[in-house]
Amino acid sequence: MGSRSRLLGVLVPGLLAISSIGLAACGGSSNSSNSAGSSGGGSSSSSAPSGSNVSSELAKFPAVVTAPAAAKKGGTLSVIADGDVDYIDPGAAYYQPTYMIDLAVDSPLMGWPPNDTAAPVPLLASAAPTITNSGKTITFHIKPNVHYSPPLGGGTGWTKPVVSQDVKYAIERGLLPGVPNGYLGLYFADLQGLSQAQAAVKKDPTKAPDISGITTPNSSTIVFTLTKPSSIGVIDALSLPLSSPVPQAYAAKYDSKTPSSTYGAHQIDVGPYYISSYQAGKQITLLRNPNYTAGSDFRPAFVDKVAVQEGFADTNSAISKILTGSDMINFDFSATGESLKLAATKYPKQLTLTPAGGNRFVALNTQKPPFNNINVRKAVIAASDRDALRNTRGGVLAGGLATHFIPPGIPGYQQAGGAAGPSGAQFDFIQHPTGDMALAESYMKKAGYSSGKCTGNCTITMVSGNVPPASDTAQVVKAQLSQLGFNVQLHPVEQAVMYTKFCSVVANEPNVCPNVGWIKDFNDGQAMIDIPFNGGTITASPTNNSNWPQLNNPTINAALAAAKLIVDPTARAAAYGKIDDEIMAQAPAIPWLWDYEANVSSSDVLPVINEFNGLTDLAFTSIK
Amino acid sequence: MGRYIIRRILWGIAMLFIVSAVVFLIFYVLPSADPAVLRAGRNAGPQQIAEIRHSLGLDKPIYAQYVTYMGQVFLHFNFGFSYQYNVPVRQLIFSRLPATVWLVTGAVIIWLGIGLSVGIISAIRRRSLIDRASMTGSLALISAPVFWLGLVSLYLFADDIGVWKIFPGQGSYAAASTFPQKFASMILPWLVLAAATSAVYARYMRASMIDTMSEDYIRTARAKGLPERTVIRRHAVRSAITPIVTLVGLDVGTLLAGNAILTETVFNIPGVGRLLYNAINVSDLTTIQGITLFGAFFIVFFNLVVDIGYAYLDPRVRYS
Repeated sequence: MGSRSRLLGVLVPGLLAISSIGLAACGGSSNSSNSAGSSGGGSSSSSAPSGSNVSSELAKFPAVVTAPAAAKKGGTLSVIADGDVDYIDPGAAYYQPTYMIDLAVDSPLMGWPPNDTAAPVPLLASAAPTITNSGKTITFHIKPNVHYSPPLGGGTGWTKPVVSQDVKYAIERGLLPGVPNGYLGLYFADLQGLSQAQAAVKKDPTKAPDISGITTPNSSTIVFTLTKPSSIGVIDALSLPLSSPVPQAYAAKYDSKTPSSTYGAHQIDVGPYYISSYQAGKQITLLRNPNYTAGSDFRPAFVDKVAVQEGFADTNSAISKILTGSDMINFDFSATGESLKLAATKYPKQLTLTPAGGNRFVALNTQKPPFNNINVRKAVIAASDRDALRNTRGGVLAGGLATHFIPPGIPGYQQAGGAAGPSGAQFDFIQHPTGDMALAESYMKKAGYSSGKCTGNCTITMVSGNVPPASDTAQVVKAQLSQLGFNVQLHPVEQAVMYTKFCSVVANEPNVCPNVGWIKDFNDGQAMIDIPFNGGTITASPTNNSNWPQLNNPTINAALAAAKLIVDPTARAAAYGKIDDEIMAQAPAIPWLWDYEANVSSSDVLPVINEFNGLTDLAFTSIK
Repeated sequence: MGRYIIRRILWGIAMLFIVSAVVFLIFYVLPSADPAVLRAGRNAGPQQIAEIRHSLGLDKPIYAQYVTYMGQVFLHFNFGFSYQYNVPVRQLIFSRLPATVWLVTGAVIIWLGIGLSVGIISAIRRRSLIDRASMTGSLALISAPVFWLGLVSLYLFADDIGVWKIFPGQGSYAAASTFPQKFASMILPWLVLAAATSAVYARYMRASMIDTMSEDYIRTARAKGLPERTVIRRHAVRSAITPIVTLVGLDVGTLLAGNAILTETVFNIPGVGRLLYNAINVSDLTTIQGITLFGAFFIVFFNLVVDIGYAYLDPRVRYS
């Protein structure tokens, strides 16, 4: 007995360690954290663009995007979640479900009312910004008498009102490695003094550097000076939580901590709600901000309390719980598959479908044979049954069949061809939703395969996620590629590994990455197609590359650089629509889905969906 | 006995080092995700990723990281910082431990109560209808995966989505604020976690009792005229239960180490197992390492407790 227990005393913990890591194969979430978009121009319900299957499902389960007249104040809203926010710190948050919280507790300079996604509207700013100096200077004035909430975690907090310097510091702290903001370097790249500030952080990573291009001539004015006239992108990006004010004198002591700032656990908020408690991975509680002045912005804040409960890993039973319960809504997961069918058939009034402002595509590595040949890529797209791909995520209720890369609701979508996609003989390879083998074989012949199928060295690698629906999608792609004679070596791995070790690493990227896609940061073509198809992305981030097809076309790169500087909305939408078609002409990927966000709520909840992110707007939702 | 205990403790410490080294090696050898890239986000450039990697200490050689980490653990009881949750790992684990302790304690009581009783009765009434029925039932419970059993129990008995709305459902433990609410919320998870284990214990106990009942001293006890009940309780069970003691120690140790992951996930109990699952998903090495070390500690500790208890139960066992 003694020797047995000794042996087991070694084996069991070792096996535990090995099985713990092996369980990585069970992980990974394919839930898309989606953003919504209307068809632009604002509407009282989620308007669907033209196109038979795209609009019919949306029309059956319309989202309410304005607060109903019958909305009452009071009550506790329970929010059912699978995972956690990415960061509770607004400076680091870069995840749409996190924005559901941030839209209620933060006040960036600009914001998004639920029914108006044509352009952001002033939130902390008192009015729309003034753009001068040929589009290189943006001036904001901020509202007076905006006060901070009590601090999360207790303590004295900050009693002084918000000043412009707080907004400046909020942005600058995003450069700290302890506040890993994912979009400051992207959307604020043209800020004067940014590179110097980045160099300063390298020397002292505990102190937020000064960005000389952000100035505060007085306590109510903040000025952004750019090196290029890319003001539209900057203004849009100022609707993200990074510009929600943070007083330096309060936050600096938390921001100096390494390896991570602890400001998030002690944050003070300026929205109608504030985070009163947060237990990582367990729960988040929002209460009314006692220092918020009702009516000071467009958020009515009906419920008294929002309680986010995390950890509902089985989303099917979580959806059932919401549909049959009371006071509940979903957070970071949509209804999919069986739960979506349940909601659609038995609880249709409690289901809403909203364009999520995102796409899904199968990336073909354009830098490696055989997909460095455009005709091979066109053959693959022509052969693909995109309807079968969509079925892996729930069929018509999952979203519209994609025919290009800008999804519905984003300016440029209609200009790129809308639901039908780009027209013309040169786009014949994308015009058959269920595939056209004859057309595919003709392209293979053009590529030099006289039989119409791959011959010779036809082995290609594919790395996918290893849990459904990602794994299901990969299997469908594999089967479709096999029809063209390719011998697909499929390697399913955990989703995070798929990105960080394979698909996003230029040197390691396989021939096919089937589970990629993009979701907007805000309603603009730049936010949708610049990063995933700009050749500059590849060289800028070779180990964190989001240009999965590795498309590096000089004409497209130049067009993207030029479009970024266009200020006129009509011209900007036309430019990005044209670029979308030019990208599609290069056939770098198989676009197959424009997601819908399928939100569910209990029967006593009056949910209001914010078309910015396709999720329930906590500040507008009420309980009957 | 004292020297035995000291020797076991020292061996346990050595084993903790081995386990932690194995976890470190596995993390770097198998294609795990890059925590610095995950933390930086999808648009981060090389400089930002490098800065984050440096702030997390991931740019140092593996052996240097390991030495620093183990020094912090043993000298300062500091298990590092969670990449994902931005809080100390120790704080994370201790905040999750009560839920797992709740779950395991209740399940242990149930599986011991049911498993031992059924095993004893089956052994005494060997080949009877009760014996056959209980052993068939135990086989069915052993075969049923825990997660399946959990989901079925929710769909049948949960008060929110169940057919018969009897017990609090998924997420009720996290929402509970009073002791009665927490107790009620654990009934289904206890039953699910205890189901297969009680079946295993029933079979073990039955086999052990059958062996023991055929021993000479049992025949002697009967020959001395002792009532059958006394023979079973005082002589047979006491001997037959010693292997069960070992099993309990191992099972409790591994469950506290995170092996209740499936039950915790199905019922949304924010315990150590669920934390481990989340940490693996995002390559949060420090949290994985911390939980593994805690788990190894529990297993070593309970193994030691079991071995000491074994010596107490069976006077023939003496540790030199």
